Amino acid sequence: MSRLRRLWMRVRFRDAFLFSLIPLVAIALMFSASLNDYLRARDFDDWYSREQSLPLLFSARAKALVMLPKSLHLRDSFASDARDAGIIRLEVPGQRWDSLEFEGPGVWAPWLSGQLRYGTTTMKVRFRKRGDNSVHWLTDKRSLTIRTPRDNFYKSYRAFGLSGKEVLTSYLANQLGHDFGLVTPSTAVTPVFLNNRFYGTYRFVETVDESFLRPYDRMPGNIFAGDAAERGEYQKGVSRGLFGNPSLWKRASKNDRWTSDTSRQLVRLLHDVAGTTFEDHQRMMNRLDRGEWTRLLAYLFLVGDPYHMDGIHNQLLYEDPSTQLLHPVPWDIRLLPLQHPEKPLSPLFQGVLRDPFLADSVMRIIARRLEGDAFYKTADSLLRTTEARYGNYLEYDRLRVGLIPSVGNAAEARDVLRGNAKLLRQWLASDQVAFAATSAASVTVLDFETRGYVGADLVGFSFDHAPTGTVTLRRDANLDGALDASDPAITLQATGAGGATQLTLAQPVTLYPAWETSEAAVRAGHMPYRLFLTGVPAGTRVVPVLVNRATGKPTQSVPWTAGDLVREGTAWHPWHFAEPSHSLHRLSGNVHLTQTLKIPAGDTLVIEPGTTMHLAPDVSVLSRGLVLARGTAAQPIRVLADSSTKPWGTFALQGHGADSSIFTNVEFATGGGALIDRIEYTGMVNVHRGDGSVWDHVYFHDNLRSDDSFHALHSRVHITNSRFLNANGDAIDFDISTGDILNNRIENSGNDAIDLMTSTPRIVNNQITGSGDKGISVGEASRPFIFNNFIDSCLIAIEVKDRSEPLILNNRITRNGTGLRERRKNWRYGGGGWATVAQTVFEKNKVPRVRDLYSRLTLNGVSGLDSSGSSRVVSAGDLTWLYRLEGIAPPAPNTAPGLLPDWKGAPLDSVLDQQTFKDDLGAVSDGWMLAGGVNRLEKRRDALVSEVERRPGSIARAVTWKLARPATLVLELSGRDLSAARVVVSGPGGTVRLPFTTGSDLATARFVTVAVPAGGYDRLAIEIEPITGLTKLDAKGLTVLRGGRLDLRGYRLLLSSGTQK
Amino acid sequence: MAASNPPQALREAFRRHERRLAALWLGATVLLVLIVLVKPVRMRALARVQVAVDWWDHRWERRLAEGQKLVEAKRFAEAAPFLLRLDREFPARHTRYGRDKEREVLLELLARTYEELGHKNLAMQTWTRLTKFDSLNYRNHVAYAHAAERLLGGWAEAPETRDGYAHALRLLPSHLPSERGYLKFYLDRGEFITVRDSYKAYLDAFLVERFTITAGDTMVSVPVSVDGNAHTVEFALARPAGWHGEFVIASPTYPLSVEGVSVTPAQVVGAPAAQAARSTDLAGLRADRMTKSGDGWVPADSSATIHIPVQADAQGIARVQLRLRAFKLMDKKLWDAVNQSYRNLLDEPGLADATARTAPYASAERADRAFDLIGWSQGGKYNPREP
Repeated sequence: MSRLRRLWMRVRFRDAFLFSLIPLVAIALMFSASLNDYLRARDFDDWYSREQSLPLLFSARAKALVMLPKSLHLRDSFASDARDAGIIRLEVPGQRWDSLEFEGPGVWAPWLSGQLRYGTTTMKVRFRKRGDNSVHWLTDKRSLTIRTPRDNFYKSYRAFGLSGKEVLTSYLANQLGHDFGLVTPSTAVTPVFLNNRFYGTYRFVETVDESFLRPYDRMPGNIFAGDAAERGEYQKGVSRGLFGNPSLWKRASKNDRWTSDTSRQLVRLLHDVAGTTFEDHQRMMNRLDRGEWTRLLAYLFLVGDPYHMDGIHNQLLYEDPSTQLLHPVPWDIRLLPLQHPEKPLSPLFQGVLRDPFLADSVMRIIARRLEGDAFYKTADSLLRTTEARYGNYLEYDRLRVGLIPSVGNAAEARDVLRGNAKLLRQWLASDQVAFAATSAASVTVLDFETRGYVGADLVGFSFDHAPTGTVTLRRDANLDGALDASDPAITLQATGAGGATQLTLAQPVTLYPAWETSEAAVRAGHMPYRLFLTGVPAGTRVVPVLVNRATGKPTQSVPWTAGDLVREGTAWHPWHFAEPSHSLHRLSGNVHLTQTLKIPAGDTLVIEPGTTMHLAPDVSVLSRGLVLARGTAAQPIRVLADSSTKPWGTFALQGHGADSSIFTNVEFATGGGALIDRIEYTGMVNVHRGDGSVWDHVYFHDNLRSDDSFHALHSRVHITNSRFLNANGDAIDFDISTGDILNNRIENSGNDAIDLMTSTPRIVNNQITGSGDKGISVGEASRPFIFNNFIDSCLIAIEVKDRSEPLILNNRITRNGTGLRERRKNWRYGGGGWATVAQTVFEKNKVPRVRDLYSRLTLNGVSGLDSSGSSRVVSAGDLTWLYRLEGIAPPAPNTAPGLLPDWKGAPLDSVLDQQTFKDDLGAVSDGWMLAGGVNRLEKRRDALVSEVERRPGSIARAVTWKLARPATLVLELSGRDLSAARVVVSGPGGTVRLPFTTGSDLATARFVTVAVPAGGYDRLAIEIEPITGLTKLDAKGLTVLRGGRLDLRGYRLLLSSGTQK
Repeated sequence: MAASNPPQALREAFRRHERRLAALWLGATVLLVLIVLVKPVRMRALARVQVAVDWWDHRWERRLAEGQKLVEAKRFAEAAPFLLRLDREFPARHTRYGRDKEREVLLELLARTYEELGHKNLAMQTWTRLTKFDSLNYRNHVAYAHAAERLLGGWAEAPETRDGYAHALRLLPSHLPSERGYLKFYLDRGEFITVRDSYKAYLDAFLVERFTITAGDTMVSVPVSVDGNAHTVEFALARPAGWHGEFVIASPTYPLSVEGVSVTPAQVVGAPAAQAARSTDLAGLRADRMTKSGDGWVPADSSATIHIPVQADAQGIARVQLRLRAFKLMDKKLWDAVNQSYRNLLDEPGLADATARTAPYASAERADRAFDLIGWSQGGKYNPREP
């Protein structure tokens, strides 16, 4: 009897049952889990749930089971406490987390509370499941939206989404939008840990709301959101097309000014999109920011997804209040093969691409991006960086695809990008032009038709034998098909050798392409052009010389048979569009305006010296072109009201057509602001999106009704030697602007003398007195240079708010209600300001300083800012480096704080190396490493925060400084509970050590200046020692050790360069 | 003996055949494992299981159909507890769920049942639940308004009626039955200013519809604003030299008037002839299956068309420009009442404008039937045959 048989004879049924239990239980578990997943999917009916089937779900589980050892091995390598600022760590009680799966009747995705670990601290957050279809919530990796409290942002975000679908490829596609200068939500790949266990790799995406606009330096305005494609969002029984139904749109951000046109502009846009005439098209284009729409389309073609911002969802349009133009916000862009189009473009894209200039620009941008594979290289670098950083996390997710959505694959992404580039290169080479030259009487009719994706420049003609007479070329500009007097002539130059067989056009005639966009694929269309050549004998063979518009390579024309019918172009004919007139308008003497004067872009308005303009109530001057108003001291120009009681409107420069306008010796009085073409002008005088305008010796006074005397918005202006008197609100208001405010007198302003929002002007040598509110209000992330100003008798001399960082140097601030106020006013900026105040005297102010918990300050050589307002100078240190950095030569070194009467310009110091810290999803400490007793090192609130406990420690980073001559290292820092601290710079050139003290207030920083001799250095370190024996009470009331702390705001290494400013 | 002690007998039989049973058990396990391991077999087997699961999961639709039958048979006393239980158990708790349309039907059936049983409060509560369940479905608000008319109206209509129609109009501002209901509320109260303003808002409401235009064997579809104002629409339409025939504009739903037609001949390669648009005489305009009403032609049914004869041109046609006026749906009775409101307010300019922008259907039923012909108007309705 064989051994096997003997064994079999001993087998009982129980043994067989037990033996089979393992596979049976495994199969039963997999089956029941798959069944459960399938039944849950059956509850929904979107594309993802409909794709689910029992066989597929079972197979996915079986595959995951096979991959389990590898998955577990990978997961063991993931540490929730890894020093990586890109990792998101969420802590939620298990029961609460499970409740994500179930909702009460009529409730979807309620907000739940949890905690987010933020470096070494935690913060309370609210979270909910997100996503427009079940792929985001049916699997074991749910997509989430997380929202922080108003007074405690995570990094710089109040709210953000975590999307689990196509993480890598979606990140790549959306991140590339930043490269095109578009207003694009921030995005990143981030591993997420839930209760210290790895939960999945996600795409971090910023929420689009008003806060989203701030980092892009955009004014708060309407964001129209059309994104209602899925269940719970779309409306039943109505037209689902976003461009055919305004009621489907919402506003993700609202312009709450009374002048806002709410959603009416959107309705007008939809009317124009639906329009079929050229006028409709022009109105539509005038509502859009052409540059951004052009770049958007180029970007979308390169990533292969011009389709997903479609007619039913993913539409976000930002309405800029300064221009009323609509800007696209790319949303949920995917990486797709362009050669497999899914559906027609959205009606808006179709309409936009009927503009031949825009289609032409799109192709030219694409050509630039494809040159040297630049676009592919950028994408490849993003992929490599991400794979290097989070490759293991992504691999783990790939092992469980089927149970969770796909996270995407770098190799496939590269293939898609290469495929798109290949196709677009074919488009760029598609420059076919049909041509026919037909002699009729004395005229040769030249018919062209562009038939490719790109157009061609007609640069000349060659002939089989030289024309004998004068050859004239005319363009059928009025498109009537016949030669007439209104058809403009184009200058020709003979360039050919041997009797001028070749004529070159002085200005090439551009034959723009036209695209056909009404079907699923974007195809090359056609556009006819007609020119007339006279002076060429009949029978002469005319050959056009054409150049590809995008690549600059020569283009061959193909013959076009005379007698064929000419087809209508598939876009609007470029010769339909009006050309700028470049007219000159002059005003002189006494001018009475009874209706608003509008100067179009391209025109020039000259106002002669001695002109007095009397404007009727609410009448304005709005110039989109250059204005030259050069009065003299003897013959000033005056802009005044016609009525003694009612204000006129505004004098406004709008757009870059008005760049470099000049106003000297002009007086503006009693203007009242205006609303023109839906744009609100809040000042008596306004500059919107104009650069380089000069306002010298201008007298602004007694504006009525309007908030500001002078308002700059998205502009660069120079206001010098001017006077502002009795402003109704603010005298000078800068919003997202820059320039100079020099040598001005600003008196008795009703509100602020100078009001800044996200602006960076140089405010120098001004006298500010009697302001009803602030002398200088520095708000909303402004960074002005405030130097040598005298501020007297204002309610508040200087107020610093909302992450503003002014440099306040050598000012004299006297007799104000409050000398310096620092506070957080607008929570959207995520904190208070951080002013640097140096060599400034505060005296006789009722309250020297008011500061809230969110604000910080760097002090050097300041008197009168302590609570007693004493004249003792605080933290005086050598600031030679600071003057040289700003290009200022003080009359003597180490001068006393206060005004500098005789300063001069000086050579600028060059900055060899510098570092500041922004709390983001990148590195934890931007290259700084901790050692010894330092147990915390992370970026937080614009500083590098380090904590040291029990024993000395250090923070250090590698540097590569090769100094040919001595340099100055300046560190800006604060600290507390440190017994000793020193800066150490070391390397082959030697070691430099400088001990320093930090004080005890973390919110008050100081400069530490280190002279670094010439030589090579490779390490910058700060050594710190805690005061031993200190304790504190923790959150539970237990006594714990209290370590020392150092906050480093940044450093600069300066080398005198001798460059004259 | 065996019969008197079957467990013992079974035990003995089991012992006697234990090895065989063990072999069978192991064989079955191996078979199951093989089924799992061999992909085609596994997929086929699980697909069969899935069919069974689908049938079982379809029980909600079957139960809903049963409830529907009870209501249609007017067996309300039986229907109420049945539907109530179904309502408690029904899986779609939010419009995000797949069976949201079924839930809406269920709530509607339940509300109707309560109405029939005379439970007014319960009925109105259920109608309210319906509007809250999918507040973006204008039909729910219309149903609520109708219910309020039936249940809450006394000597005058209840404010709930007006609110229901107002909600519906916010979602679909060009919905004639809602506009009718809303206006009726104010007409009954003699508040003519609101009637006028609401009617103007109705006329101005954004509505762009595509109209099909045929010329010979070529067909184009052009968008036209339906607001009673004249709009120019322009489109490329290639017709060969010498072509003559007619432009046929199909308008199955909206009243339409044609105020001008011009055609631009094509250019010919090499021929420097002036190309100018040529107006077409509208004297020969003919409307099929349409009747004149106000300034427009009102469709009689879905085959309604307007025919415009076009003369031959030696250069053919390249481009067409039409001046069209498409009118929002309106019925004569309601228009008469609105017209009277304008008169009562002595708003002659307003009346002139409204008159020019109105071409009413003869009856409300016909106007409402026309609305049902619009493709999108049928979207989101429950179709029991849907898989």
